[in-house]
Amino acid sequence: MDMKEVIKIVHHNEVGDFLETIIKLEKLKEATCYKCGAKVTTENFKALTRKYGKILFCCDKLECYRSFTEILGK
Amino acid sequence: MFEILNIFLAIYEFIKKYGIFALILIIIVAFIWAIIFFVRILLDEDKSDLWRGKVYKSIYKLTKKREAEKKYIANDIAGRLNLARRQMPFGEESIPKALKVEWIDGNQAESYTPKEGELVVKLESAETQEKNIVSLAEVLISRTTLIGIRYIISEYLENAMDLNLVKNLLKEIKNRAILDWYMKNEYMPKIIQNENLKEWNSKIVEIDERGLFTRLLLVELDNYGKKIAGRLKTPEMESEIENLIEFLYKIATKTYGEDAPLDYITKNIKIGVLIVGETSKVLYAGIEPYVSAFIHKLNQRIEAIYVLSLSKEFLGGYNEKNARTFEEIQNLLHQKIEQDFQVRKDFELAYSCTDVNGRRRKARCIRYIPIY
Repeated sequence: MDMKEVIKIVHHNEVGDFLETIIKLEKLKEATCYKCGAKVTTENFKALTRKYGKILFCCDKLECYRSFTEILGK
Repeated sequence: MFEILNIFLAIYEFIKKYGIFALILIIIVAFIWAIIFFVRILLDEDKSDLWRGKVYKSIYKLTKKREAEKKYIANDIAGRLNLARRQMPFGEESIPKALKVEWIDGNQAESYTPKEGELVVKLESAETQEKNIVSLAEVLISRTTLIGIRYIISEYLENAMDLNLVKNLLKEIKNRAILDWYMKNEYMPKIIQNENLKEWNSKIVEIDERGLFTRLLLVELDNYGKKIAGRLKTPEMESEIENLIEFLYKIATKTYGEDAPLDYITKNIKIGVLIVGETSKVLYAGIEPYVSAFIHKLNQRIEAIYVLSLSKEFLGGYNEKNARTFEEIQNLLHQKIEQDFQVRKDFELAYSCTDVNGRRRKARCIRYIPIY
């Protein structure tokens, strides 16, 4: 049996509630892209991960997502 | 098309000749064939995902329901990427981990908090599925390959390897639209942005075109990662890896008669390459020069010896006898290596690649591990 890499996915129409919950539970003022610093909203959210306890958000700019996938393996 | 027509014609003739019994026999055979076909799909998780994806796609097209759309997206991505992963060699294995995608659905979304290292990606509608596939292919490559060496290598080299791994993975999906989307929107824009990346990328591409990226370089990098696990990064480590790529690049771009170093010996990497590719040398000198070269590598206590055999496909066209002899001599060499030396055959991979002149060549890569 192959080992599996589990990736959670969220539907673009359900991002609103998801993002709102994360911001509330993590007690954040707002979500900002870890790379470019832009405010991450329902429209431009692309991905997030938790690294060293901190949530890292990534906006949907190709450049930011590329950089985001690069830090994932490290 | 004509073949299918001929089959139907033969069935018609068969029924005409033997009547109702022939018809019953054909129905039974077709039924058994259908059962075998479906059982094989059911036993293969990735194929099942792909077929489930097809079914949900049809349901989604008819009903436009979000649940069907989500099931289509998830099953289609997992099926396509995991089947492609199995086709992509990584030494004798495939990419270390398969992909599993899980939706965070409406109810979960209201109380969900990601655990350490957990990743959440937003996927677009089913209408832009190629974009969704590319997004997750990038994540799969980043999280499951080059383990243990990402902290050592430069950003440019890491990017060059990731870009080509994603490209190779998407190529195996065998869907031009997906690959084109990736090349146009991700691969090319990134390459032209930076000269260092461009340079590393051109080297990785050459190595890949000779079939040595996933069959040799990644295998050695994987071993390297295991060997240096837990050690602090040193400048020596970075140059060991960069010089390994330069070493393979020289082999990949070597022209007929040109010399290139065939052993790479450093503190943590000790590999040797034996190229059996010059037809005239193989046909007229036999296996002796290769056996001597193999002994020389053993004397240097090399830890992995790759024997790369390249046959000229056109040789079979104009001289079938020579082509056969060439093949026989190659087999004889491998028999002698396995009989006369203390080596373990780690893997053997047959593939086709292009040579430095762009000609298609059949190739074989065998990795031997000497036992000292």
